[in-house]
Amino acid sequence: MENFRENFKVTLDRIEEGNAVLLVRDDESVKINIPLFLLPAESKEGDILDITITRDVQEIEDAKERVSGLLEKLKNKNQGTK
Amino acid sequence: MRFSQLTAAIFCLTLVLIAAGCTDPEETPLETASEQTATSTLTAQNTVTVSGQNLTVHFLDVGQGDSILLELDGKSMLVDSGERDQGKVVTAYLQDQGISTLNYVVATHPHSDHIGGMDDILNIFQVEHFVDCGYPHTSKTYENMLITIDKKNIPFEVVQAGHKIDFDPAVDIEVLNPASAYSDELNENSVVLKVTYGETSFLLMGDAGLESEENIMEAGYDVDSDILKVGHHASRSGSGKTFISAVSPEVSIIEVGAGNDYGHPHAEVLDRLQKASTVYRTDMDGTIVITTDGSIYTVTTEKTGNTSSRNEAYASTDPTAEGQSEEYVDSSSTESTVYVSDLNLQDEWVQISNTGASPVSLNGWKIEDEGSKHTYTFQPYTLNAGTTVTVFTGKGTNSATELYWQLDNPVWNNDGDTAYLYDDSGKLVSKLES
Repeated sequence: MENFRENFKVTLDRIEEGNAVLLVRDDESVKINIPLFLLPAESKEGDILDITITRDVQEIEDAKERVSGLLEKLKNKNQGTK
Repeated sequence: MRFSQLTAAIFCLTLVLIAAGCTDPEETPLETASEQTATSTLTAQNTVTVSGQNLTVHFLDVGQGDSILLELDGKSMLVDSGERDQGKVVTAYLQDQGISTLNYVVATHPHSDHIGGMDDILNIFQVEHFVDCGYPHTSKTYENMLITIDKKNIPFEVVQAGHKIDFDPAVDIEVLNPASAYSDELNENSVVLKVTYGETSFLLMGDAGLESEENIMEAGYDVDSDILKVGHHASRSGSGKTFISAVSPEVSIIEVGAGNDYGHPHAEVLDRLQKASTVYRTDMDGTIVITTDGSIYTVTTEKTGNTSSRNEAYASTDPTAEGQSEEYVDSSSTESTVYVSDLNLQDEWVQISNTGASPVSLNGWKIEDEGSKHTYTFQPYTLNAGTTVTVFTGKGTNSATELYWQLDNPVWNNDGDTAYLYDDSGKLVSKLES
């Protein structure tokens, strides 16, 4: 687990109160709790899931732009009322 | 005294639970524990010969997960081993008990909060028998456990309902689950064990839930038990109303992690268990140890360090009293003729009365206030039949009817307080709220 990566496999060890408990297969002492509804339909205990996580660069840029814009707007608005 | 009034005090108090309804109807009530044991071997359904040794059952605090150790006559059996990171904790605990060989290791089912620590256990201890529910799981944790068992040539046994585990001739260990046809859910395939030692019985549920409870009852097993290791960390998946009333536990143990992510124990289930029994939780009490000689059992908790015990010899003779948890405390209060009769918060005194027909020695008895902030211990003193003694907080000279705590500061909180009276064995005899 030393290396950062985008893809790994997990065991769906069990389901507790709507949460799936995932064990990272390379080191099952690493646990991930995740709501069941975020997993593929019909996921069940004993499933082995292939998880891919990618950085969405475009989404990050878009969000930064939107939030910066909102910040500027609010700052100017407050200056106007003082 | 109602049981519900006591529940809040149970974790911080020393208490003897006197059971009603745990004697066999045909059993003759006897005077002493040893005689009781002798008779019970003749009349009890699960006839076992108590060896004169103590059976000790440890419910280990392994956070969110299960691990239970049984010890008898130098033999030991481990049921589950907690999460992976708890293997070291379980190992250290077993080593503290002087254990190097485990006669039996049971994996109730392959979820990681039950078998995660097995790798440490199998590699550090000599394991003579491994017992599994036999339902496969895909996790590496389970696979690696099987690989280790294979490599070390540990005798491996899959059990199902109806089997017995031959741990020691003095203790009967019956397997009540899994059923012959497996469930699709791992929890419901948990190995459920009924452990009977003389007159004391334990029901260890693993993570079994409602489906297993129904199967077990339909199969006609006698689930009535003194101590219940509650199924599945007291989640709402188990501990159904019908099942809990059939088990009618006196003590319920919940193995659960503090602030776990899953909302265990579930409020409704906890309420049901608290109404039926005295509840101990590893998240609040730490490791819980129950020791029994087959007739008396004692509960000791790690965090509170308290001990409570129950003696079968004092059991109710009323065969119609079917495990009514409220009744056993009621019966203790009616049996006890010594009680806290008055408490004056302003004038700082408490009265103890003896309504019985004979004098009672109060030597070693204790009076405590709410939260056990102050303790008064009786020196040699006899409370005669039909008399009352007043214990003053302040200084003075003791007499036949007045005793002095000899304190400079008040004990009783004027906004409201409770006086607790314990006998010399530490049993809560009476309490009075004022």
